[in-house]
Amino acid sequence: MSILAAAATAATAAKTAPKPLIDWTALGQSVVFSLIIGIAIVVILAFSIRLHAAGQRGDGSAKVVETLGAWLGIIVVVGAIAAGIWLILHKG
Amino acid sequence: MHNLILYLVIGTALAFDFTNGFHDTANAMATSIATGAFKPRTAVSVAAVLNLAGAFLSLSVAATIASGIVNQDLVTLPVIFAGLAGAIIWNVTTWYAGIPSSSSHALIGGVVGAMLAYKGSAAVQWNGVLSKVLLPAILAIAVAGTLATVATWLAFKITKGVDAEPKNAGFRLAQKGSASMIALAHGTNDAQKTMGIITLALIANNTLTPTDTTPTWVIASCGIAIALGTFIGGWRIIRTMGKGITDLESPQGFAAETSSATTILTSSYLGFPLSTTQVCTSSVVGSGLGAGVTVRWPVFGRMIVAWILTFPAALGVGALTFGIQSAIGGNAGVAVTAGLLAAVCLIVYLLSRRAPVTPANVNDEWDPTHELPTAQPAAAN
Repeated sequence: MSILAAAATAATAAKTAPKPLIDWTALGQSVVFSLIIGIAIVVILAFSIRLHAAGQRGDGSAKVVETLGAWLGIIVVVGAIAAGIWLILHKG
Repeated sequence: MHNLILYLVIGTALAFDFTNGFHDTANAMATSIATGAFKPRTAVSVAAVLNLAGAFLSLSVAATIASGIVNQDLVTLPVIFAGLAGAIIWNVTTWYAGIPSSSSHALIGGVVGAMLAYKGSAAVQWNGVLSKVLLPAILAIAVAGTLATVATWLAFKITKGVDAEPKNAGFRLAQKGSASMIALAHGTNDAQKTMGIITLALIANNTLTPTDTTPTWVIASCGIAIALGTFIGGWRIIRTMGKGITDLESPQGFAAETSSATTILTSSYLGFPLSTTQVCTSSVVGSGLGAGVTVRWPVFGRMIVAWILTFPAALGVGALTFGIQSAIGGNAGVAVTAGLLAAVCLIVYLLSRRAPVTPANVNDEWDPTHELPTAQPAAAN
């Protein structure tokens, strides 16, 4: 049997193999990604709010840096929401 | 003959879609209403529009019902009808009690019950029940609850010392985005479910072939039904989720919604869909724990009991409905059970009028000794 034929046989076997009751890989990835992304979004927004409040009180270059940091965080959160909508439209 | 049953199945499927809408409005909007991010009427209007949009945006319409749970080849129109009856009765009962519960699990239970009554246990794939009902429920509580606890704790920790006004304004604004995302995701998932049921009924009636695409009128009617249900607003469940489980502030609301959205979207994308209701409820509990405020465990305990009962209760009603249909036989059997279903829904609705929850009183302070508000305005649900 050639290598190509063996690979084709293996691929067919993989496709026809019974699906496991629980897909542990998908399950593990779901848990890890949910935790990381969820916590990251909340932390970024919380820091943005803190920086925004500090920026309103401060002055000079510190004020500029804090305001920019706040807006950067807000853009990241808005981007995360956009990514979420993309996921909704392209779900597996 | 078959057309009458087909029309009844389509009508009942749309009725299920409607109950699904008002039952699940709380998932997306309860925390936003409780924290004041959205006014009650605005919240349900936004959720309704996004549910309708979600129904049309969806790229893959699942033309299956209880796939991997029952033998699809044996599904008939009376089985679908009996399954829907089980799911609708469970939905209106839990709505009356103000308890969020999974419409998907109720539908699965109803169809399994009808199939058991029709063909016996051999037609049911019990492994599928374990992997699609039991395990996701445990996971939803663990993952969403843990995530919301940590996220809420961090949100308060990081914003400690920030004035309440800008802090709450920031989190409330962000809540509008996170709540809207959950509403959109709900439209794509749950409207599809009913589209699948109607498509399957049309195939079973030989109106469509299995290779046909879902007709536009099916997509439109399902989208409109779920949007109408959402707009009506299941205020009883919104009140329990927003006020009953714990006292919510805007950082908790955003943390809970973000936890729900990321858990639902990542698990769905990776092929491991969880119940939106169970994820959102667990997130609210987690947000209470993370903020270090009181969590009313008896309220959450009732929800857990309802989640455990969802599958067997819907199964029982599905089996009973199919049994009555079969005993009477033919069109008359389906017509009689449809009448009984309508009667049960009407009775539950009339019972709910005794202590209505409305946009005006949905945010009243929670009193554990008298959970429903005492005020009784005219238009309510």
